[in-house]
Amino acid sequence: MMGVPDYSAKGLADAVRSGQVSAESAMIGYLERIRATEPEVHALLAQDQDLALSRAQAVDRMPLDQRSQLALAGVPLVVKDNIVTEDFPTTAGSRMLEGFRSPYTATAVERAAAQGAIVLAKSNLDEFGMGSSTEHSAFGPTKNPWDLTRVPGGSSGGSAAAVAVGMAPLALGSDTGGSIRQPAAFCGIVGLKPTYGRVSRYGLIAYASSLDQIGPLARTVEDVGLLLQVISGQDVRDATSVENPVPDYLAQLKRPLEGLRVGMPKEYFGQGIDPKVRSVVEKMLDRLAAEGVTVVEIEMPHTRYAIATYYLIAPAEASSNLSRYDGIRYGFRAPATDLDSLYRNTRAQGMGEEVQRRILLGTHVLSAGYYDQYYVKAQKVRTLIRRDFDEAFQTVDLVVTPSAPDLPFVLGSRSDDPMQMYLSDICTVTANLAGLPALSVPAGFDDGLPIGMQWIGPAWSEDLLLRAGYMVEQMVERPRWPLWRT
Amino acid sequence: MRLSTDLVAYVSDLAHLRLNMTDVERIANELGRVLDYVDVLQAVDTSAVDATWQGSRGPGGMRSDEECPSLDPLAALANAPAVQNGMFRIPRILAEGEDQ
Repeated sequence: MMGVPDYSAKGLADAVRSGQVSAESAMIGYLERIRATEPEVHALLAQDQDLALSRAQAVDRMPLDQRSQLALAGVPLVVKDNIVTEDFPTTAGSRMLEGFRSPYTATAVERAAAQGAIVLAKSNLDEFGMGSSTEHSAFGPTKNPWDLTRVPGGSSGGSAAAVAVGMAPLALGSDTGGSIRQPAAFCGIVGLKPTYGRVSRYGLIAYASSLDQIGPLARTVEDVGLLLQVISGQDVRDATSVENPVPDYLAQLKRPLEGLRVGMPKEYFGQGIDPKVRSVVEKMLDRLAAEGVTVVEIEMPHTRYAIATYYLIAPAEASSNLSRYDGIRYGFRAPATDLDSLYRNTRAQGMGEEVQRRILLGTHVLSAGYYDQYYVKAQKVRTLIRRDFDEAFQTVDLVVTPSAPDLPFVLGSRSDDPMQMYLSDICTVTANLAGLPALSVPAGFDDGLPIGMQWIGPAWSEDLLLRAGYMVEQMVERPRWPLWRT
Repeated sequence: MRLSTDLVAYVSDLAHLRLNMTDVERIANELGRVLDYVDVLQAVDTSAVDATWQGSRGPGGMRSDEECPSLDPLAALANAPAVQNGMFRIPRILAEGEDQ
């Protein structure tokens, strides 16, 4: 046998549907893989092997006519631990929610499970999604499987590392400023942030509500499309989910993109971008040009303001969203003799340094005397960043950039400098500010470390992004997946 | 620009976060650096630009205003650090004698 984790999600679901492979035997393989790699990688915060096996057996016992209807029949799924689940604890990587068990399950997880996916674990993350390295988890950092001395990116670093190392073929992440795409790039896998409103946020622990989206991570573009298909669509429990019809993302996936016009914004290829990253992405664009894709240089002049805009809006929304953690209704409570001290001690002891930093920054920029100067100003510049994209899409179909400005960095090398860590998000925050879909796909490797390229499209263009990503995927020579010893 | 320790103490008060003096000093420096960086926005002319408050790129749906099941009280209390008589228990908010 070739080894279970070599299956794609699509291949495994096909095999389980037809009865060629039992969901139970596949699950046993993935659980063995977790046992072999988790001690080194630390991608997971909770797992339930007995539950996963019993769910797999239930899929096998289903009548064929039912099982054959399931798009994800028996496919193991890892869920980022800021997405709530009744069957597992949900911590959001914070001591504040240690031991918390949600009374309901997120819509995206429900939809995947209804199609036969089996949640086998919850994955590590920067606390409440605030970080770019997964070093800000209260439960210890995740390591990059390609080089265990380096970060896997963040905040969905646990989900990305779990997929890269073969613990599951699919994972759910969340993306507020790049938290799916940058870890996907650092771990050599594919990740997609959908258009704002494409996927329900019901059950996603809120960080910055106008920027947050749940999205898929997988080893292949096809698997990302498969999971996106299942989780997309309006949900009455999330008023910001949009009622646009969901197209068949896989129907046209492999059809070549003839006449595609791609914009290469010079602002994303200049200062601050590691020359190794730039070189890999530019070489891929040359190869695409040789295949008939038209690549044109474009200008997006407000890109230089994106990090400043993002680090005003996101903390402002976070300071409001995280006010709910008060030690009264759920989660951690610090000892106190009066109510005011209970609030203050609980929040100071329950939340980590980076979360407190963002709450304080957000509180400051929303406070009287600073609101117009910082918060309103940032929301206006956000409009200009959106316009840059709207104007670009008048002349090109998609925009291409690196997914991250640099290669996966060494653990601990940026943890003392918040501002330097914030600059890690320079390539990705614009898509969140503009509400647009964006895909990260591996474009190549440098000295064994993966480098991702990002495709950003107009609203609701996920199908086009997936086709572009598929085209790139066919051209990349990929080394063997990491930590593969058995 | 380093923030004053008084301003950091005021903001931490608004945010209900108890900081010790070492934290206040550290935060004053860190937030100062971030605010120096974001000052780049002040150079952008936004006099004729509307703000974008929402992330949405399409029409949201409004559900019909009909009664539907909500969270069961026992489930809502299940994660509470302290419960009494089916309610969340908190420390006294009135001193002895004030609640008469």
